Amino acid sequence: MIIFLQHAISGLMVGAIYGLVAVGFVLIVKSNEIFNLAQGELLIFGAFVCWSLIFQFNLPPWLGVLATLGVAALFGMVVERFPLRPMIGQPMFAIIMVTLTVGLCLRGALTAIWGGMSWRVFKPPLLPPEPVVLGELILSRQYIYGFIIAIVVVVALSLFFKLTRAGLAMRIVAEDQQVAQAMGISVRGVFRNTWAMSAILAAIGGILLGSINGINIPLANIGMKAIPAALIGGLQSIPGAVIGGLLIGLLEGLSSGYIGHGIQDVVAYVVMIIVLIFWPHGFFGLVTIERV
Amino acid sequence: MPLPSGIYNVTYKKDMAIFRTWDHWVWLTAFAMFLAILPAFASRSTLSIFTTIACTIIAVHGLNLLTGFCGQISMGHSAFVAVGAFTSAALCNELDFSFWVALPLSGFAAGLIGLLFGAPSLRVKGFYLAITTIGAQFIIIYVIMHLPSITGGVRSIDVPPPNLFGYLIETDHSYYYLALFMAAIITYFVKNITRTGVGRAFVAIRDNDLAAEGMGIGLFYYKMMAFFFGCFLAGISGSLYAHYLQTINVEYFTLMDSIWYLGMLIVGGMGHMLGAIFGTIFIVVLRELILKVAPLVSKALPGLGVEFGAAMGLFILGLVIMLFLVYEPRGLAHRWEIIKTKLRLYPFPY
Repeated sequence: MIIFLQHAISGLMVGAIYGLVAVGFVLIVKSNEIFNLAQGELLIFGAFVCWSLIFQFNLPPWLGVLATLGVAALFGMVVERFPLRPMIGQPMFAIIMVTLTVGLCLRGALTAIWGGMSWRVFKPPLLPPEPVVLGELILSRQYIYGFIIAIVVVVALSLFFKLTRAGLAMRIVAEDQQVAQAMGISVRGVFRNTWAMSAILAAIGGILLGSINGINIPLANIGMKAIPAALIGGLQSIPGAVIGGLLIGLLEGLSSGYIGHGIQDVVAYVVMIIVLIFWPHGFFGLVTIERV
Repeated sequence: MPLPSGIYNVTYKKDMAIFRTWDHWVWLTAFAMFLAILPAFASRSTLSIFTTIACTIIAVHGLNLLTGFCGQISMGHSAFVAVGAFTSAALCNELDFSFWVALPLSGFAAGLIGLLFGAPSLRVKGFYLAITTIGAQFIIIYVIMHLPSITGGVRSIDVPPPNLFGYLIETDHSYYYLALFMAAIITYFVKNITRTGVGRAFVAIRDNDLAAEGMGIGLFYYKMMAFFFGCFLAGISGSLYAHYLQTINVEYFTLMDSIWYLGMLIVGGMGHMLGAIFGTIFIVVLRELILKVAPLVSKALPGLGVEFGAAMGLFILGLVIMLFLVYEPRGLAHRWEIIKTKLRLYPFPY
């Protein structure tokens, strides 16, 4: 039982970070119907920038993190401006391939700048490393903080959507772009803000993961796990993305604990395919009726 | 597309003919002759690039049928190539099959696995299906890595060269002819699929699947057929490539390779027979160029580090595909048609 709990809880902690990245993915889908396959690369971009700012330019950690979020937001806007704005109105396949190639270019550039396989470790770590001992359970304090930060960010995001004018504008654009324009909302501005926010979320995920485990280029593959999380939850639902992320994290923790190391890379996709066969729009996705 | 004067499309059969004018015969014969005498003066490395292109074209034809014609995005194509390669290797190594039997069987194996992963296309489509096929990539490679008794797991395994009536096809010269012959046959086969009823059903499904269903096209049947043909060709390509390299490793079949297959299709032009060929040649040659240039750059600027070459390759290939998507979404095949029309009308503008 204690082993089960140990695997389950450590899985859930990682799952929260998957959920955070998946929320960034869902944000873009909700507001401009773009499936961003470069989410993983945005994540390591944030992590690398943060590492460089703190350990190479010797900024204090809080300033480094804030500056990273600024850089990530700017970068998200740049990505929206060049390859993606000309693609408005193009077929879905072309758009997802563009985001994929953005990811490839970014991966190439990051490898050239920071080097491929070598690990960059946050030393001293941003979050306190001492484990918490709860009875027989041993929990990493970093994962707990990561989990809490992830949940706080998602709650803040839902409040932002509910309570602020900018959030309202995003919800209208997600509903119908033409109606939004008729209401005097700048659709382009909303797209820009969405990309900035999505890049910030990816960067937060990157900083959390980086400060826990260290960063290298293959960490970007985590973006490929956030997407099944988003699909399981339903592409239009922010709580769904978090639940999908937690579910995938939980299953990964349990399967790698009980079946063997290596299965955790596959289990997300197996679960996703099964879920999609029975719920083609995910658990909380928008069920659409299509007409010719 | 304007044809030369004097060519009238009186019947459907004439409209669909592969050879419309005598020029086509002349050009094709000249091109075939060129390819046939190429080994006489080309170096081994050039021939090896040609063989790689011929093997890859077969897989890209498969992807073109599936994604370009039928509109079902497959982001796990290299996993199906891997199924073909490992099936062929296992049949030849464990059961002593001849290459000529193992080749179609590996195609069938890949096709059946393709049916398995194509089955969700009954329920999901578009982006959801694309991610399902990424899942196919990870799941298939995981299974291959965890069946070490058959596939060697993470180690490389040897594959015997094909044996044609006692003659071993193992040199670059002889394998070049084999790969070329197979690529030509497959191109003819795919061209014929696309101009028969099956091909028209595929195009109808790509353009609007609900309308296609309304017109009496069995969606599931034709989508499954597209998955089967697409993955069948991937398997053939994998088998050919495995017997050419004579050694295979699971690391040759990554998600990145699947993305390059899609990139070839985009650069060439989707849903166009010539597109698959042009795109494959373009990307393979570009990749070879990068492999040639990268060490020189690393040597000239040692401060950039050893990984700079690989990173540059990734960056350039990604950028090329991105620029094609933004500025020439119909690919090289479309550009080729424009050039042909211009030349035909020269010196008049239209």
